[in-house]
Amino acid sequence: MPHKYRLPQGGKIDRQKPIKFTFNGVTIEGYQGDTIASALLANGIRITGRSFKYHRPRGIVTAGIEESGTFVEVIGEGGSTTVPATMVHVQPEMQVKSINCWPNPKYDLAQLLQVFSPLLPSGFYYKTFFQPEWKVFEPFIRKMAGLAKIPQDDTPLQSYDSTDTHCEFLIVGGGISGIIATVMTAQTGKRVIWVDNLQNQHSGFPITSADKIILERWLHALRDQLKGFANVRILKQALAWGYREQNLVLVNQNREEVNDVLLWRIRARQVLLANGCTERGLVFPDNDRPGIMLASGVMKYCQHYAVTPGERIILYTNNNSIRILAETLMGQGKEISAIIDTREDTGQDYRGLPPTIKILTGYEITKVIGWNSVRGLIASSLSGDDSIRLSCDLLAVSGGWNPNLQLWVQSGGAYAFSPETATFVPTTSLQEVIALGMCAGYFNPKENLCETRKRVSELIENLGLKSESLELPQLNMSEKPYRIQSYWQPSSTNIGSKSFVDILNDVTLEDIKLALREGYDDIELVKRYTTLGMGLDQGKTGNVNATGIVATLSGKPMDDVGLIKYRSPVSPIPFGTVGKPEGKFIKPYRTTPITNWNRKNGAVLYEAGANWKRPGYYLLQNETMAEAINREARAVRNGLAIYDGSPLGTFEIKGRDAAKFLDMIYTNRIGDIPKGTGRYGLMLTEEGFILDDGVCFCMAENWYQVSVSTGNADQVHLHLEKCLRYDFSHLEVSVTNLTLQWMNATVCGPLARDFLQEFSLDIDLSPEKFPFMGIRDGVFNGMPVRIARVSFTGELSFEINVHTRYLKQLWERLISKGNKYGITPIGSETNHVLRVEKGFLSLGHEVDGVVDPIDLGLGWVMSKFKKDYIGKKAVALNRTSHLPRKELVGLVAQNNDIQFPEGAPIVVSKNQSIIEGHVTASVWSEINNRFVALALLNNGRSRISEIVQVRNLTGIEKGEVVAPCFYDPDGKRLRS
Amino acid sequence: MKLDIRDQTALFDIKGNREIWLNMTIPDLPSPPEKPNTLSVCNGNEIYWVGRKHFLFRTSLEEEDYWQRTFRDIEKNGLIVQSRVSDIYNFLAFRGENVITELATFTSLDLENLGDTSCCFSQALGLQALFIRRDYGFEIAFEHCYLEMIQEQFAPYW
Repeated sequence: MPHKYRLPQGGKIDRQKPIKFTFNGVTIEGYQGDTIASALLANGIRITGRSFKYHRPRGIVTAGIEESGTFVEVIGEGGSTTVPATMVHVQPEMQVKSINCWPNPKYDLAQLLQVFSPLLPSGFYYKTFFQPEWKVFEPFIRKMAGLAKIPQDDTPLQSYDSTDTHCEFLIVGGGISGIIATVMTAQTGKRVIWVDNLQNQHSGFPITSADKIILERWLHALRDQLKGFANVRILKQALAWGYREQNLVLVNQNREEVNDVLLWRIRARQVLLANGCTERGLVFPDNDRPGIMLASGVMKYCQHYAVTPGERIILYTNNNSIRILAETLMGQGKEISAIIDTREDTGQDYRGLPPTIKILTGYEITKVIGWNSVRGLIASSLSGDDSIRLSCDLLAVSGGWNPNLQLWVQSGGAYAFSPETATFVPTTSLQEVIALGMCAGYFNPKENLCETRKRVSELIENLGLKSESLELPQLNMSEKPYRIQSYWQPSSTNIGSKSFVDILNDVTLEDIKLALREGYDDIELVKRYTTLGMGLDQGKTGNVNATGIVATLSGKPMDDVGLIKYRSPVSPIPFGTVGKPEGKFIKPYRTTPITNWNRKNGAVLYEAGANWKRPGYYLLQNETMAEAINREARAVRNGLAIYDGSPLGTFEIKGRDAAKFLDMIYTNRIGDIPKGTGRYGLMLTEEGFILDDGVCFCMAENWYQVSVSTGNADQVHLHLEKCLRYDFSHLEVSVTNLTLQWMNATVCGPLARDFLQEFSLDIDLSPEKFPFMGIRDGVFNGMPVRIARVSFTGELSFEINVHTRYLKQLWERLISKGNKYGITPIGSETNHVLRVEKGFLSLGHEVDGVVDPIDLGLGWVMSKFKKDYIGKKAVALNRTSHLPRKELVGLVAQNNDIQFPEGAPIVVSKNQSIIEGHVTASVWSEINNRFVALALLNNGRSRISEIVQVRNLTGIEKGEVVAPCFYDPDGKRLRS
Repeated sequence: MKLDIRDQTALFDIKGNREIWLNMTIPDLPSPPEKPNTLSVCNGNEIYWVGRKHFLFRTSLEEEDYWQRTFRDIEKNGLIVQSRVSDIYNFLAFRGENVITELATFTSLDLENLGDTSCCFSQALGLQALFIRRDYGFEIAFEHCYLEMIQEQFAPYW
């Protein structure tokens, strides 16, 4: 019969709009406003899924986001996997399927596992399936366990976007405290954002129906009042799921009108957490049977959905909040057969209830009767001298209330155990955040109202702002405080039954005991050993019980055990909000003023360090990559070539102590560089490894220009600034990054000088007047230029630097006039070939982060006369071990047709599993007509002429160790 | 929101104490800004206070050489350190009533809180950028090497 458990009236469902959907293929009728869970309960469906590990029958436990019992798969358009049945509203034609069972939850084949469950304690998988290898068992275990399948259709169901915003007050929580805080802070005139959390996401502390009406009217009026505030932004259908440093709160908002999820990154001056509280369960044997629900869930189904999922109802508790549920159910004509309370002394809590209700104080449930659904129970006195059997078809349980501390803990806020409320409450904050109302541990609604108003008022006053007083509604409920007595575990357990602490992850009391026995005595270790508090519900209903159990068993105070650390997200969020779908990523890239020229002239562009899109090589018609590189290399060695060297890192170092500073930064002497010349230098890290190499020019007194590797420019800049700020703050020096102010076209090759002399230029280019490592300012065809005589190719080279605005003009003139010389633009691949021929080092190849200058044969760059420089002592210290060092060598294959792959290991002849070096770069050298390579080899410099073995993909190849320079070893050409 | 690229201007990176500016008696040189992350203006010339002892001076491109000579002379006294950086940035104008909402998806800076004379370095599109509050919206300077990428990202707004 449809709607068998639906009350004849009440609720916030629209009975005029019935909705049919299927659940495991069976048609179910709900009403508009129903969730899947409320519709199933209204139709008497108890078994809604199977448990994660043991495949025990499970039903619906709660009515909110804290659900731990029933997760479903929604199939078809708009579908989703593994969502709590309590959070999805029914839609016409919706297809819903149980997860983790086959063929259906009632007759699940895998329920046989329950027979073997005593053999499957926590840690069973780790201890059993490691031999021969986990991967052998993994597919089977994953198939049996786990949740819904990932949909085959990878089309995103929604679109995702993100935005940043700021405010003075951010209020998280759509309940009583949230709206009070919003109205009061709105009156300050400051920017207020109210995250009106997903409506009804928590079941909430109980309140009588009469008071609920009063409260809802009042809240409605406050909402109306808010419409008049332009400074308030309300984020509806939103979930605050992460709290970061500097009061950054991450909020997902479901925007149904545009079918997307918007991630808000909100930075607030002050955060007010009003995200309520959640009821926890009680731990007792077989407390997971369908029909056993949290009291707050039963309350919400009754008040919100007009559903009471049982006729013979028993309430089980350790606190007085359950009385309101009893009154509410009786008000709907339902029979409460008993209230079982673990407290010996319940005071006046049950006074005035009808005598037909059996009140058992100082009792606990020791057995649940029923397999697929609860049919009854046995309650025993805590003293152990009495037992009573009771029948029921619905058991509502309340183990007390926990403030929702997830965001508070993420913010770095502290918490402490409150014996009065038997839970953890927030104490001191680390950031500008306060907790309000139930989130602060004020569970009684009357108390909640007053305390929230007081705290918000104090906050506003402390900030020097003003807000009008807020009149509170008059509730009928008593002033009786919330009373509770801790109850963490049953006094005894039955063989064959399981007392669940974490229903979602099938973690039992015995599992926690086992973890403690095995030495996992920290709550975080217990979590990892048992999976407690993991997964979809993040232990919302079980974590505090777990702390209580660990504290009891280990004899530690609750505060010493603490809570399992809450991490973000508070509840599952779509991956799309944190990692955008393909195509939407922003990958930064940089171009120079001649990138378009390159594109038009056959350049193959790709990133070549620091996000720069650079030409790798220029393809002519019908040319292969290798042919292009060889052609370009020939042009440099024999004729005239040009390349865009603009991305080269350039820094200006100025100030009275500039030379002193650079003497500490570089390994060699800088202070004595004559004006107008430069010197090759190395920068080391504090650990004595090479950070970068480059040339430092002296432009004038106290004025230096430093060039560094393209790919390392940002890192070097940070290094320089860090040194200035922390290590050498006493020096008068400034560093200015001019990488983007000066761009350069580098003209190279034996014809370079002749070619440049054809232009109008006021610089004498002769080797006598402008020698290697010189730098000159001048005017080139009307453009101010700064020309440096440096070379990365090993040939005569002029680096013509101009302000960026002139680069395109300069380039086009050089190309235009260079045609008669056969000027050839070259790319970074060709540069790589040429530098390997010369044995020049390159970051990421030879400079791998763990080499020092001596390893690379650059010991001569380390001054013996300077007292100190960064890395000097570390280099000496690193070398005290006298272990073999990897040294730079050249390598040529004995078989001329063989190219050693870059990265190939060099192995010891007698034992090829021992690596003694590796190939750092390997190229075809057009000038040598053979492949040549550079390598780092143990004690390499003393092994010249030795034959070594290099392992490549097909086997071992032999190579001869040679000096790491294959062209013009005396450097005559670049100095010419 | 609409955006366009501003014509190139001259820009100088000046490092030194704020008091130095007060002692410079040069026509058309603005007084230094009162607070960090704000700007001051005089006859179209602007000073941006962008960091600890760190300022930017902006003028027209025609005036670039004049100011280069002027600042070099002052630099010789050791009171400031100056560098010409006119070519480092492209200045883009972001205009329109919804400019704050639209820009909020590209930057985490609190744009609403930027007053009339605000200017500061922050990030947009994950890149370093100089934000300047203007009556039409914002002027944002990006390193010129990212211009092509920025044009792609802001394609709907040109």
